[in-house]
Amino acid sequence: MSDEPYLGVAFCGLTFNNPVFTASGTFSARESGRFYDFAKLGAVTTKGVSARPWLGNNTPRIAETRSGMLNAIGLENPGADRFIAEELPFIREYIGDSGARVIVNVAGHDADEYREAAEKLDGADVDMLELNISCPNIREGGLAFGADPRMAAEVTRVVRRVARKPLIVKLTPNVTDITEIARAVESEGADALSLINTLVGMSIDADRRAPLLANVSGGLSGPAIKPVALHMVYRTVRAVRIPVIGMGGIMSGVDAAEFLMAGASAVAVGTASLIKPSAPLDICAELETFMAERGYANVASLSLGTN
Amino acid sequence: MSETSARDILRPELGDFFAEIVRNEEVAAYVYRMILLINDKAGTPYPAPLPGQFVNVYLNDAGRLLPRPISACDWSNERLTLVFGAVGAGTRQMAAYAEGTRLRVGAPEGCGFDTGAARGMNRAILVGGGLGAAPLLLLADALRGYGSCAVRAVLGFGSEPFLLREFEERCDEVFVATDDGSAGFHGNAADLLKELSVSGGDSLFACGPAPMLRVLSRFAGGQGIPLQVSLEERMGCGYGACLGCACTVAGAEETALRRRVCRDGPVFNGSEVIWDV
Repeated sequence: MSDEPYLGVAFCGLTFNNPVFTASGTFSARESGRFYDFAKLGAVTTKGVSARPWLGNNTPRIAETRSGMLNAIGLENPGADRFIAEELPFIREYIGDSGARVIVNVAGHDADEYREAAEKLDGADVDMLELNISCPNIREGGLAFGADPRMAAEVTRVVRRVARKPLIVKLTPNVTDITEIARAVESEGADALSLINTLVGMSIDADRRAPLLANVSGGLSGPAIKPVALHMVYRTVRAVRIPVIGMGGIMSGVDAAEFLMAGASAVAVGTASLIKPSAPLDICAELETFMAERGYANVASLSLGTN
Repeated sequence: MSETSARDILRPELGDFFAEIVRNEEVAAYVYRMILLINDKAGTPYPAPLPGQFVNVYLNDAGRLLPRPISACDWSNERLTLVFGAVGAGTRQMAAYAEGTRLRVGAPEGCGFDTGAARGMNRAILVGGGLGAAPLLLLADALRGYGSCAVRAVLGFGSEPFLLREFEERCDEVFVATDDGSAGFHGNAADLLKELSVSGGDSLFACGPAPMLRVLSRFAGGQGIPLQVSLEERMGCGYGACLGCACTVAGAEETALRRRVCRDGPVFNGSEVIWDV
């Protein structure tokens, strides 16, 4: 048994108390905060916020699949103004001076909307912006931007111009070569990458002989996608110079360690939070135990190395 | 910003409890009654469910991750009764669990029936369609305390009624309908309610299939009678974080926010729900 491992990490000019974050769309300050003290995480990432309010898709929006789930929420959110007025001050008050960081996920239908949302949110009390060009559940924007290197670069350039805060770009796995998109957004000034968003899939209700989701398709998440996510993180880390936040099916501290071994600078917990509300903090504690038991002194020492 | 501090929402006594199945039996075709004995968690007793609240039941199956949100049907002495339909792979698995099986369950969730609405009313009418009868039993129990308010249950079933004895013990009157006419009124609960007629001092509480609730909502609106409805929706997290279980309410276009069935509901005023989205 070695000394207590040091879990702090630093990138994009920011320090984080530990490398465990929440993944966008699975964290709500008022609800998650009933179950665990999220100020103890490295960072919280909000649900996608757009310039104006979005109603999202019709229901059913959720379908369980083997070792995973599909969602087609459609980025329902109250818009940047209400987010800044009502949600953000609550998060800030909760985390106080704990050092936990606030990452806001930015959504849009087109480059103008992304820019408008980013402009508003960059001026608010957030630490980082996460550009969501990978949501599979909206008809325009989202995945349409993230699957095309030229469009991904274009929207990154537009947002980069108005964002002074560190800019993370969240990538979709629904592409032939994720490293191509990663390099395209890196060249336009992205400060970090987060991956992966969900994989597009569908469910059919055989009893009703109909698609289960009102949106027909949805985004697959959960342990079913972990091997895909891990490989994409492993490859992307080796293709770019900017830090990568790894996510996709992390259910335990060992899962988190695997992403850090693949070279991620931090990890995010998503679907696990829907199954156990306190999962992000539990996973952080499990990661610390894993590192202590195996004698890892710090997070960087987990990495396989990129040579 | 609210007057209470953001920190006040933290309630670590919520979250997971472990329960043991003390009884699991079929009470009608595909309908099961499961009685759970719920252990204290580090000295914290399981919170008593309020009428209309539901409980997230997690399966003992690493391949089926999401909770099954099941309405609390009855509660006494740390024993929680759930009545559920074996309608999908997960609930069929629940139906097959042997007595003695241990399960992870969440604390009661959601905003249940506003029993205060029955205060000063002549009569509370509970309208249940099929499995929708389940949460009304706990409600009947709560309303019994309102001495002057009579409680009438109007329950519709496909063909086999269930929970009748329990409702008869707790209600002043129980009326039964079946879709196939095999017991009681031939038709559904909404039709039977109209047949029985309502009056000005009545207050309606309903749970059942969406088409039934839609019909009731129009009827109650036309009669000027207050109606609370408990909705069902496919949920993700079951505690308000994921926005999977949206319900569209009047004014949603303006405020651009739907309501969450799991957290803002599952009980809503019948007049505020937009049924045809």
